[in-house]
Amino acid sequence: MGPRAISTQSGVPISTLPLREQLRRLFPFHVALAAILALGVYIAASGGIADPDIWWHLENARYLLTYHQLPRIDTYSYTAWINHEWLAEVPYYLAWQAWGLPGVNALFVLLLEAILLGIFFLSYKSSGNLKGSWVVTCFCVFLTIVSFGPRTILFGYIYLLILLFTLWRFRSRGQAPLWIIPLLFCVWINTHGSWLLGLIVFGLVVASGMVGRTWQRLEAVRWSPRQLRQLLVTGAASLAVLLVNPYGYRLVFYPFDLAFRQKLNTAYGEEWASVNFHNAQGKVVLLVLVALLLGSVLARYQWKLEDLLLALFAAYSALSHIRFLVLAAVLLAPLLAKFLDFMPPYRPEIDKPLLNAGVVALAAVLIVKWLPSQASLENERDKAFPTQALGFVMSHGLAGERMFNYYGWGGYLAWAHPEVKTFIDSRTDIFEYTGVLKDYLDATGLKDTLKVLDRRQVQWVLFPPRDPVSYFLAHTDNWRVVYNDSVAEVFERAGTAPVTSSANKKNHGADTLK
Amino acid sequence: MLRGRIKTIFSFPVVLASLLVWWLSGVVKPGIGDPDLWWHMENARFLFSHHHLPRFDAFSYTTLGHPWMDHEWLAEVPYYLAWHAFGPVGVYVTLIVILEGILLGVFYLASKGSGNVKGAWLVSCFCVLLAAVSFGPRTLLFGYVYLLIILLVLQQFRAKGQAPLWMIPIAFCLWINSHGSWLIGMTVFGIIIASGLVQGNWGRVEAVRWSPRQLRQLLVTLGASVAALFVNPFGYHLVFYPFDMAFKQKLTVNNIEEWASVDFHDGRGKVVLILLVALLVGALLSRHRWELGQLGLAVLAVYSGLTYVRFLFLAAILLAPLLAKFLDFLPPYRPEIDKHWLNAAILAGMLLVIVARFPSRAVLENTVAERFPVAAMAYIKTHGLPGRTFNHYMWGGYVAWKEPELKTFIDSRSDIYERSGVLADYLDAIRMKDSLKILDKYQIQSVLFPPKEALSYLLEHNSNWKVVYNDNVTEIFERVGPMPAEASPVAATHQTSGPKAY
Repeated sequence: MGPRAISTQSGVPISTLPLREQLRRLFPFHVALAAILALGVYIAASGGIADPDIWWHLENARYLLTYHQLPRIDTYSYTAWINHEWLAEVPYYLAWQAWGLPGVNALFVLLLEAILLGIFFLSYKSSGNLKGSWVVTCFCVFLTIVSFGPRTILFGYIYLLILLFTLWRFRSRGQAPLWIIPLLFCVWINTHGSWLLGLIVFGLVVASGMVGRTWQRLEAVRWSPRQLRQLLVTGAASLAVLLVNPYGYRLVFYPFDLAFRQKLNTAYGEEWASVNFHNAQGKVVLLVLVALLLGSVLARYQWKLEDLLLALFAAYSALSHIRFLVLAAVLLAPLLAKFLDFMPPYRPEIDKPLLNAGVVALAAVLIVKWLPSQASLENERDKAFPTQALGFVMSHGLAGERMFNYYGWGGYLAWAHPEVKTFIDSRTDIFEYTGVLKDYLDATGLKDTLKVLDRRQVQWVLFPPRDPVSYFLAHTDNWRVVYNDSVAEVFERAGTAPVTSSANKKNHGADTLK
Repeated sequence: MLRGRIKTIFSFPVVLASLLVWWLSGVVKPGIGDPDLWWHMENARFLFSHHHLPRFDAFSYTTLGHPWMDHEWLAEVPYYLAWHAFGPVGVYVTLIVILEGILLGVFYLASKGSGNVKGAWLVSCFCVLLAAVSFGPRTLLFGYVYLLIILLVLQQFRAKGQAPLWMIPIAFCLWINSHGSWLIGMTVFGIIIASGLVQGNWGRVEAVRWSPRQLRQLLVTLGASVAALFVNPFGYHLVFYPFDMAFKQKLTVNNIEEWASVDFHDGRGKVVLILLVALLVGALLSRHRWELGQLGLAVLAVYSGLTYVRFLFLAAILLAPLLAKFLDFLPPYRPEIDKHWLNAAILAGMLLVIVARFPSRAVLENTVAERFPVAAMAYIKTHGLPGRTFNHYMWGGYVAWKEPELKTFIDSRSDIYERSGVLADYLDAIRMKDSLKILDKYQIQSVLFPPKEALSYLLEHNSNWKVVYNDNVTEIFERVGPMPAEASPVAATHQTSGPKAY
């Protein structure tokens, strides 16, 4: 049964149809499946508000809306800095301003739902296999968990889905609103650096139609000259619009800077790590790989060249960097759904619209019922960030002194107490350029910890209690614990810091990214 | 007759084999610095001195007298004998001979399985990169030798309908006494038998059912192989050991480097990526039809290799014949255009290069000195160490081999230390989780550790400890002042509780 079977585009307004027909059109089986998927995503996404990045994103957006300009210099180190995700920060900040933490939570859940429902829709459209698409999308939820949180990259995945859907339509029908693609890239580059992934995907799809040939189980269909021309014009326009941003060519080069210059960031950042096949996430990836292998030899489906290119790109990206598991889900879901062509097709004649409506209603009721309160989200935040310790810091006059803080807390400190100037936060890039990240890693890896604290003239340290740094400081002579709770410990230097060295001054020069 | 033999000896496939040998000897870094080697040799020394296997721990003070099963005893003997005869050079030669044997076996298996000698050679060269994780004097290597024997026998059985199946129970009998990887061999054997229980075609996959006679022979072989597992000095305990490892030794599996999953950021990960791409592309582009057994083995190889880097060599062995079949577009070997004199010259050249590059005893000893506290042991010999020593995990075996009277905290046997809780304490201590309390708990007076470790940094900056020796490889710390009053002796770990000797 093809995708057209669900169409409600008969030209007759639904309201004029009999109630039973209205129900049938409004609540087909597809909608019930989507509702169950949405509920599943909602449950899986609960508890994901405590993202270390969201706070400095909010702070940036506050700055933008207050001063009507983007922050261009880090207020602590006075180093030039590109706020490369500025457009994605605005919705989060507006949601915060309107409804506080529940607003931020609602926005990221909505984005996640849109992504997963988008995967379902794209898979269904490209495979024509409703049940297979649903099964695959449910499986994809496990792959996407890595990005569950108020992340700016979520916007990028929505753009990617729009791009893929447009290209699928262009491939299957020979025409599609390709003008959307340059617009998309214009928005994308101002939202997140993942636009480069989108451009690669676009390039792979275009390249796959440069040849027309069949090799055993693989076939390539050549674009017609008109199609190719349209795609090349779209590609060129997409490249041109990348420069429509507040930072010009520097923002275009940012993803390359990240890939080739920010080595510490990609080597030590948790979400840049390679897949660990020992944990549940790794087992899911293993299943995907086995499914791809089995699908290549067992399924009746004849692979297209773009399937293979996108599958290889997805596998490479996701295996090397877990943050791209969502990308893999988006790229692989349509292909995996095609492998499940042995599943029985959707049969409208046995559909139960009332039951479907009941499922949708139940999912909606449960989602509303389980909406987290402001208090529960604050509680969640307080378990992850040093809210109480900061009260101590403020009341004991430490705020003005130099501090050394846990990487994941810097953004929250900047947001909650802008007057407390942090050592580091999870923006990472600027700290790698200035050598601060290296010092941080040396200090937390217990390599010259004390030297780093001395050189940076740190007077107090804010770290989680079970971190090696905390244990080390608690058992050295020059530091003492002045505050501790289950989330944070505050250490204060016993005595004065040694005379500063010149190394510390270096970071105050705007020597990079002018 | 002689002319025929010369033609065979100096044929193109033999030249390819020699190039593979040369490539492998170039990739293997000279050295015998494996942390397990030392306690393996100490066990073998015990066996030859006392004419029975060690059944209790004698290396450490933490588990002294605890029952312990020397589950790889048979594989320890060749390394010890090689050391006994020729020192480090002997161990290195043994390692190289086993490695070359395995890779030549992979080449032979892939050639026979694919009928494509050039493809098999290319794939075997690639497999060297996958095998690199096991380059060292490891007992596991013997397991791979047995696996290859079993695969060759089963390949012949599948292709010709008959083969010396009697070799399989013998291989399993030797295998269980050499290494716990026999379970993988049994899994492989099971997959191959199971793949012939059905007949059919699914996409590009086909299954050919065993004839009743073949199936009977295979099942008898399987029964005999299972029975042969019990021919070992520890009885059923040794048969259950791999299951104990998989289900009870969680700390070992989660924390020991070679049990880690593939890291796609490093060179090895990139090689695995190429392997995965080759599998997928080969599945789509190759004319080859997959046998069901091959598919089963490929899935096993992918799972094992990705999950545990130590099994990348296993993945190489299992996947090589399949990958060689993908390269069926390469022109076949044509004996009639073979140049035997040219081949002979290449062989001679290879041999010369291998001999010329063979590392000297001094080089091998130097690699040991770079990884183990060789110089520090000299200091310890002259100055002694007060009381109990907390040592680095990787060095315990070396200390036990060099100074058996100096009892260690831990060594890389891990199993006995996990069961007694010592491994958990060790991991906590090196990760700054109550490190000092753990040192107190075991009444440690000295610490033998590498200089750039977190624990060393902590002790360097703690007033209760002082550095008494340091070089590039080692720092020795001694406790300053008396043991804290609250430090209780760890009597519990000294009890020979639990099961009796194996």
